Formats: sequence, structure tokens, C-alpha cells
Amino acid sequence: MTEQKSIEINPKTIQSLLDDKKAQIQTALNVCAHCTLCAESCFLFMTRDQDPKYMPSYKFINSIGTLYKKKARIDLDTLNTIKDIVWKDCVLCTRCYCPMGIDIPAMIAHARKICRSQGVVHEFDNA
Amino acid sequence: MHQIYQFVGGPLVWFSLLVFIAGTIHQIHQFFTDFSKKKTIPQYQPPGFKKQPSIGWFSKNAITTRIALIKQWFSRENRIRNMAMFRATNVFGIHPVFSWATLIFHVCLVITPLFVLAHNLLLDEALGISLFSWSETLTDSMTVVLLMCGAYFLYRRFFVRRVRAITSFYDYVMLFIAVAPFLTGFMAYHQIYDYQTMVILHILAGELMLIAIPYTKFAHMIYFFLQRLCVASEYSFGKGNRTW
Ligand code: HEM
Ligand code: HEM
Ligand code: SF4
Ligand code: SF4
Repeated sequence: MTEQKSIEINPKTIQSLLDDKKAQIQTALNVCAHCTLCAESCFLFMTRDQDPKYMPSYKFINSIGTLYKKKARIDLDTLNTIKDIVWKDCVLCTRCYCPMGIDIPAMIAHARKICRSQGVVHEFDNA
Repeated sequence: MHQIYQFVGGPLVWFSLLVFIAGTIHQIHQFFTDFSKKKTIPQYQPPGFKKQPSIGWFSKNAITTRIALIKQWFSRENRIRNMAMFRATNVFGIHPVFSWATLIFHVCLVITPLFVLAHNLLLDEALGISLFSWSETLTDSMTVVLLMCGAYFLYRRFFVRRVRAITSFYDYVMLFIAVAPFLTGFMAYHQIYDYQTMVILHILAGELMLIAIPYTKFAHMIYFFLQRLCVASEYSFGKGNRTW
């Protein structure tokens, strides 16, 4: 953990990674009707007492969505929260299904990429 | 008051229709250009695999096989299994109340305004063409049904845990924008409060909704169908190779 504190966030990289998929992210956030129909398609949601935090839409809104809204003004704490969502709460099995066609795994994968670019990654050996 | 009415019921109507149509075309265009990516799905071919010649859709063999399959599907043992499968996998089986509410909500939302007598009279006046109208009792009842479904959605947003988890202020605003034309139309029709004010509010609400469709979460009206068309084999022509 002490190592993590020394991490400097590089807003430019975050911004350019966000720009790479700007249209897709924008549309996903825009088109999501917040209907929760995707919930049952995620096995983690089903096996964790239907805890809303495992809902696919919850996960992408609170990871890539937060990144997109805060743009480069993100702080390390938020980045760490996002890290936990995208690594601990989703296994990127790509089984989730949204009737509006939002590619949720692609969004979560992109959030992982942004975290990775900042050196904020899940440490599997410490889990 | 009359001048406001003239403006709101004249130029603003054309403006909102223009935004609605142009925005819809824009979104469809975006879907089919570089903004949505075509995936290349690698097809696994076992070694030595040769494509079999097709037996043809309408050959005698194909038709008898298909009839046998349908008969088997509806046989007694299968009916029980099918019902269980439906309960477990279809959204109407998992969330029956919500699915029916949303189906009825959307049908009323799209169909009712097309057949409201007053709308068609105004259309006739403006363009000389109009759709046929349904009885005012029917459209009025559909309005009430829609409002009830809207109330159910509001209840869900407030009290269902998982819906609460992703609900923001924006969702309440959008739900309101979706039902506002119906609420105000209902109040105008029943002459609740001042008729003139209500009609102006109604027209404004309708225009706001039309403008909102292409560029807010109502854009799902467009994406829902585009996406469905592209899903592999889900009653569609798609190969499932397009996402965004
Ligand atoms: C005609 C094509 C349309 C289709 C196929 C469609 C489909 C859907 C689906 C599948 C949902 C998710 C389930 C739900 O939350 O109810 C939904 C939600 C919603 N739709 Fe549509 N829709 C269409 C048009 C519209 C239009 C034109 C509007 C508004 C002007 C609209 C307003 C809404 C609202 C407000 C919700 C969220 C309801 C809630 O709060 O849970 N829809 N739609
Ligand atoms: C944009 C221009 C619009 C104009 C000029 C307009 C005008 C009117 C007028 C004059 C009435 C009749 C009130 C009465 O019976 O005295 C009416 C009723 C109604 N309007 Fe509109 N409207 C517009 C848009 C919309 C939209 C976009 C919707 C829905 C999405 C809508 C839904 C309704 C409904 C459902 C009623 C009937 C209410 C009832 O009978 O209970 N209108 N409208
Ligand atoms: S991601 Fe899709 S299914 Fe899930 S809440 Fe959003 S619109 Fe509904
Ligand atoms: S990709 Fe993630 S959100 Fe989607 S079903 Fe798998 S674990 Fe759930």
C-alpha cells in the first residue's frame, strides 16, 4: 500500500485513453435506460444474494462512467475504488446481456486499461 | 396568451420535429460508421472439414423434418419443460409484472398520440392529411393506463433496491419528460385547471419529448431496433458482429 501512495496520476494519459473510445462511452452512458434488466445475466449478481453492486450496469456506470464524468480530475482514492469494481466485481466473462446493446464488458475492460495505465492494478497475490 | 399559443403551436412544432428526424438519422448514421466497430469473429474449422451441400429450405426432406420438430416441441413432455425454460430464461418469466408494464407503457406511448382526435384535426388543418382517429374514450383510457405504468416505474425507482442503486436525478427528470405530454394532455382534455394554459404546457411538453428522443436515454428507441437487427439469429438478419 505504501508503494501505491507514491503513484502520480497522469491526467493526459487518462484523457487520451478516454478519447480513444469517446463515442462508445458517451453512447453507452447515454443510452442506458437504468432499467436493471442486465442484472440476471451476470452470474456474480445471481450468486451474491443479488447484491446490486454486482449488477453489470452498476459496474460500468461506476467505473468508466465515473472516469468519463470526472475526466482527468480523478484522485487516487476514486481510482482505487474503480480498481476494486473492475477487478473484484467483474471477471469479464462477457456473458452479460443488455437489450439496448450496450457492450458492458468492453466498457469495463476499458476502465481496466485506464487503471493499468496509471499503475493502479489488482494485486492477485495479495488478494 | 394567444401569441404564445401561435408560436408554441407553430414554428416550435416544426423545429422539434426537425430535431427529432435529423437527430434520428444522425444516430443511425453513427451506428453504421466507424463509431460502431465491426468485430471479426474467427470461425473454427475442424481439420478436414468440408462444407456440406445445403439440402435447401423447401425440399421435401427439409419440410418433413421441420414439421416433426415442431410436433415434438409441442408434445406433452416438452410443454412442461418449455414452460420451465420460459420461467427461467425469458424476461417475461423472470419479471412478469415489470415486463408487461413496460410493454404496455411503450405501446401506449408510441401509438396513442398518433390516433388522438385532436392531433389529427390539427394535422389536417396544417397539412391537409391525417391518420384516422380512434374514439376519444379509447385514447383517454390509454393515457390513463400509461400514467399508471409510469407511476409503477416511479415506485420501482424509489423502492426497489437494485434500481435505486443506479438511479440518479436524471432518471426522474426523464421519466417526467416521458409522461408529461400525457399528464398535460389528460388535464387539457378533462379541462382540469385553465384549458389554454394546459394546452400550451401540453404542446411544450410534447415538443420537449420529441427533441429529447435522439440525444438522451430515449435514444434507446433507435438503438433497440438497430441492435436487435444485428444480434446473431435473434429473429434478425445479423451475424452478431457489430457492437459499439
Ligand atoms: C419504440 C421503441 C422503444 C422501445 C423498443 C423501447 C424499449 C425500452 C426498454 C426495453 C426499456 C427498459 C425497460 C424499462 O425500464 O421499462 C425502456 C425503458 C424506458 N423507455 Fe423505452 N423504448 C422505446 C421508445 C421509448 C420512447 C419514445 C420513450 C420516451 C419518449 C421511452 C421512454 C422510456 C423510459 C422513460 C424508460 C425507463 C423506465 C423506467 O424508469 O424504468 N421509450 N424502453
Ligand atoms: C407537438 C405538438 C402537439 C400538439 C400541438 C398537441 C395538441 C394536443 C391537443 C390540442 C390535445 C387535445 C386536448 C383536448 O382534447 O382538448 C392533445 C391531446 C393529447 N396529446 Fe397532444 N399535442 C402535441 C404533442 C403530443 C405528444 C408528443 C404526445 C405524446 C407523446 C401527445 C399526447 C397527447 C395525448 C395522449 C392526448 C390525449 C389526452 C386525453 O385524451 O386524455 N401530444 N394534444
Ligand atoms: S446496461 Fe442495458 S440492461 Fe443494464 S440497466 Fe443499462 S440499459 Fe438496462
Ligand atoms: S462480464 Fe462482468 S458484468 Fe458481465 S456477466 Fe461477466 S462478470 Fe458479470
